[in-house]
Amino acid sequence: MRGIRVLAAAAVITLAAACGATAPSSAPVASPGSGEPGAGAATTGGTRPLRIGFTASLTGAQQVASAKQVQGIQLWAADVRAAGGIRLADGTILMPDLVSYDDESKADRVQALYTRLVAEDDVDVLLSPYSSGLVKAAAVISEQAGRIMITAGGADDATMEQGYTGIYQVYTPASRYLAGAIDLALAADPSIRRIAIVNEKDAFSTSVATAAKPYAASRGLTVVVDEGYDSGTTDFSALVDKIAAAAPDAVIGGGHFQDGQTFARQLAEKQVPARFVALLVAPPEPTFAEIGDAAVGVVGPSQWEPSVDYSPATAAGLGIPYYGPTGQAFTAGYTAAFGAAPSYHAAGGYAAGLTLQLAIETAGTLDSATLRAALDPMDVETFFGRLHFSAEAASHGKQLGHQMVYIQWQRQADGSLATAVVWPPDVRTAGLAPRPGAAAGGGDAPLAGALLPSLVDGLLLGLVYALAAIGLTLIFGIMRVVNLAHGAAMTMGMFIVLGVTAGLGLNPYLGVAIAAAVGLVAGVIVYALAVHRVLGGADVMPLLSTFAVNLVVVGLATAAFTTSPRAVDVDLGAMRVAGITLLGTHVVAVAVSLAAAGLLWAFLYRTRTGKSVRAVATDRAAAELMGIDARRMLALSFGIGIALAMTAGALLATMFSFTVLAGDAYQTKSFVIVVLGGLGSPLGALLGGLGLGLLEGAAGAMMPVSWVPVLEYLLFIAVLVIRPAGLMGNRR
Amino acid sequence: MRSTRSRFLPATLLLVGAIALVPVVGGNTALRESLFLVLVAVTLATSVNLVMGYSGYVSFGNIVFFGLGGYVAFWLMRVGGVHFLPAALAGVIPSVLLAVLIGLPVLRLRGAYFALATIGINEAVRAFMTNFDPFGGSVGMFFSASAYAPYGGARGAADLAYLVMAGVTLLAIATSWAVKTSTFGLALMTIREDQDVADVMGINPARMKLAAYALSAVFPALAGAAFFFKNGIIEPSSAFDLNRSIESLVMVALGGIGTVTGPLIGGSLYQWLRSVLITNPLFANIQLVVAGLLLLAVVQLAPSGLVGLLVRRARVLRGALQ
Repeated sequence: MRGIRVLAAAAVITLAAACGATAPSSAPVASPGSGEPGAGAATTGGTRPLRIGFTASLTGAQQVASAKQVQGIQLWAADVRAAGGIRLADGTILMPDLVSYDDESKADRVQALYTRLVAEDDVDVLLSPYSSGLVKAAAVISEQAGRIMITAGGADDATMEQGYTGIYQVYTPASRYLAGAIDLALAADPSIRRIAIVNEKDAFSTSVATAAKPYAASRGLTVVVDEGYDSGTTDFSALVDKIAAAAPDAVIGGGHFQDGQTFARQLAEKQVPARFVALLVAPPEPTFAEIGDAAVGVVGPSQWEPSVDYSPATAAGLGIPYYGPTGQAFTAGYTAAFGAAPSYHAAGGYAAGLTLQLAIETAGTLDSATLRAALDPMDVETFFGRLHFSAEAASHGKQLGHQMVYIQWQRQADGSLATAVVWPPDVRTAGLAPRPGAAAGGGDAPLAGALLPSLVDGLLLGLVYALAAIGLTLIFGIMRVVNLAHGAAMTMGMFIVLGVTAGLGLNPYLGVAIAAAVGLVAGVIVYALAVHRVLGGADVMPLLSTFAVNLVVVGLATAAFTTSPRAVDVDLGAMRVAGITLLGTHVVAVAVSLAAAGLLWAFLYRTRTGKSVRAVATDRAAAELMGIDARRMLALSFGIGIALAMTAGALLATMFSFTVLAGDAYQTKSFVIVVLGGLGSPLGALLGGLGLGLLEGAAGAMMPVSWVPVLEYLLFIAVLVIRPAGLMGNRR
Repeated sequence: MRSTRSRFLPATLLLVGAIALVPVVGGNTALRESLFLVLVAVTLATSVNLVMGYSGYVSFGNIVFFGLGGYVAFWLMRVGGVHFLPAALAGVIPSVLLAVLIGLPVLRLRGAYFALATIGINEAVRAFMTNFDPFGGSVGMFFSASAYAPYGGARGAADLAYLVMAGVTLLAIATSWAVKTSTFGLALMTIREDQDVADVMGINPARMKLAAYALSAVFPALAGAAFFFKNGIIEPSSAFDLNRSIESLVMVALGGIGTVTGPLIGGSLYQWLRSVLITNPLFANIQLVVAGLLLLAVVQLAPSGLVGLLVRRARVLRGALQ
């Protein structure tokens, strides 16, 4: 035993040492075809590398968009190398050499790594990470080091209003994202009067919404719903019911991909009759079409689209020069290099490179002050659009020239879904198509108002949440383990359904059954590997052990599937009863949940094995004396708990969009439910789920939805403190 | 034995202080950045160990004190124009206040109930901050480029934050040692082993636990103030990140629960390992998997952590590693 432990420790240390030994010599994430980085030392008039530093989000929330941005940068670097590099005034030829690290989508990593890029890797210039939050973090370091940083993927206005002197923004700022959408809506349908503005409560989406509100008012619109929702929100029922009750003509807002996709889907499912829907970030992504019919008619602002043709001709029209490749050349080059059509993230990355290239060519040197002097007056048309920066101190470097384009998902003649550019008028490829199911003229408010539909939605959803919570509480009740791998199990269930439908083309509910079976086996294996040995020790050990399992599962899933949001397109229709829309998928999910809970009850109370499980839970030592193999029973219960979690995850996949990181939010919901119902009580968890669902439904209808989590957690703490046995659970 | 014991604290503080001074003396900013993250990690791990290691209570959401201290200090600097040092000290007040107010009822709970309650507290405060507009709501707050001028620019501010962070870490380690070697620490450890027995022996478990919990709120609040002062941005999602909380539990387990050097060794090793894995192209894509497997190996095979392993191998180290 002791030998094994020492061996394990030795292995840990050796592995750590091995990592350390390889680290200094390792080349950072190399770009394709980067010759020998660092080989060409600086010689006057010769060739030397142009060291460009940035971080990429290889893991975490920003992974997908960041990867595309990096591909754009890599393509630019490859193009420059192929064209013979960038020539300085003294005749030196610069060959782009990209130095980049994984920032895990975290601001503190960004700062540590940008400091490293500047201080240790001694890069010449910087490009930004992806997303407004990370750009802000990088800007602090870049400015401190006196480097020039070209930002792509950071549209937040506030970053550019901090008095920075060396940061230049390629993207159109957030404040202009939805102004064009409002123009478009009114141009197509001047009768639009009532508008709902809803946004994710993060820096970027809040900037967008804050700017959109006064603009909507200035165009004569009445804002009838104005709400934010918490980042990480997975269900919008309460918000959608509220919007339906307000009967707006147009709905604009959103946040990022996963929330935007689910929101669009629920707007369609609930048959909200708005004539115009525009959402941030999600619509321009090709995977938005995974929600099928719900995508039709949705408009989205995009920084760039392949079909938009900025050319020397459009440049001449503006009286400015054109620089760099044509849009066709970029699209062809990107498609050849990466095997897919470029998104605006990729185009933004390439445009950041182009901006840098033009600045260096104009300046003829890498000196920061001279580069700044070249960038400040720059006004140029590229394939990405016009690029021109603010030179005023208060908003220095903010993008002024670039314009958004607006795309719409439209049903093609052959029945397929495709996007068309619908705005601005001079570059559009199609007119705005009417949104299916939209009411002509002002829609009537449903009779039921928002409260009743919201309660019903909450109730249905609460019963599905309850299924996962029953699994969690079963494991806790039997072996006193709070399973931190529960969310990971739910995520696995979601991806099994995705694999069965998108991969094999089979019925999603077959996927639910497979998820349950896989969960049982996986649970038994995890119990043997991670749980059995830590039972009965310090409280923290099972927590850490199951958390480790969570890390491994999420890590493997990220490597395999990326953190790209996914959706399963299942539509079982909807019933309308007394003004309330009941969705087929939700009704079936509740039926499956109740059936699973019933099966569990029958197993625990009507079979011999189930009685043995309960005996082990009550008194393990006594049960063992009665000849029960406690180890087998514990493994079996852990398996059942995981199977329930995976079943619940699979059912949630038929209702909402998800990512490999989705399990975390659902796991926290399970915690709340088991505490409400009493830890260790399956029936309590069922009632707790019901209670949480009703609370979310009622509170969501009566207060701003972003306050609902505050209420939820306060209730959670209050229950723990006042009645640790749970509101509805049995007192043992 | 006694002599190694009395020399332990000054020796440890001297060693940590000397290492912390290397980037300042050498002017190596990249090393300073890496060590800053290590110091934050060690401080958070040492703080959570004060509660978990000595009294056996798993404070899962201890990061709430880091976020709250950071928020209040940031708000004072940004809106009130207060200097960093008084602002950081002021940030301790709401954190300790929250610990006492919440601790009174919550510390009556045992085991998993307490752990879950601390998660709930962190999530409640995070959700509240997202809606609390005076603190910037969901967008949070950030400094303009000129905000660092009184500290000699952003570089001077980063140096100051680093030095303060090093001081906080030394203070946290010294406190951890003082608690462990005092009767207070003995009382906590008695509670850990058997709360009912402790009660019978005349220890007031409620008061002792509350004191430990309040103490564990002090250093994260200071660390949060330094961390977000240096970052220049504070947002609810980064201030109350439950994963950072879980990471500090991992560090304690890695080093050795209930020891003074455990969080120091575990925190340093963990942070160093993570930054190596991230910058290593071989592991960058699967760094989560590697971290998870290492943690699983430690929990399953060496539950007393690296310190426990070393002490078992060589008992002479016991005095040096306690």
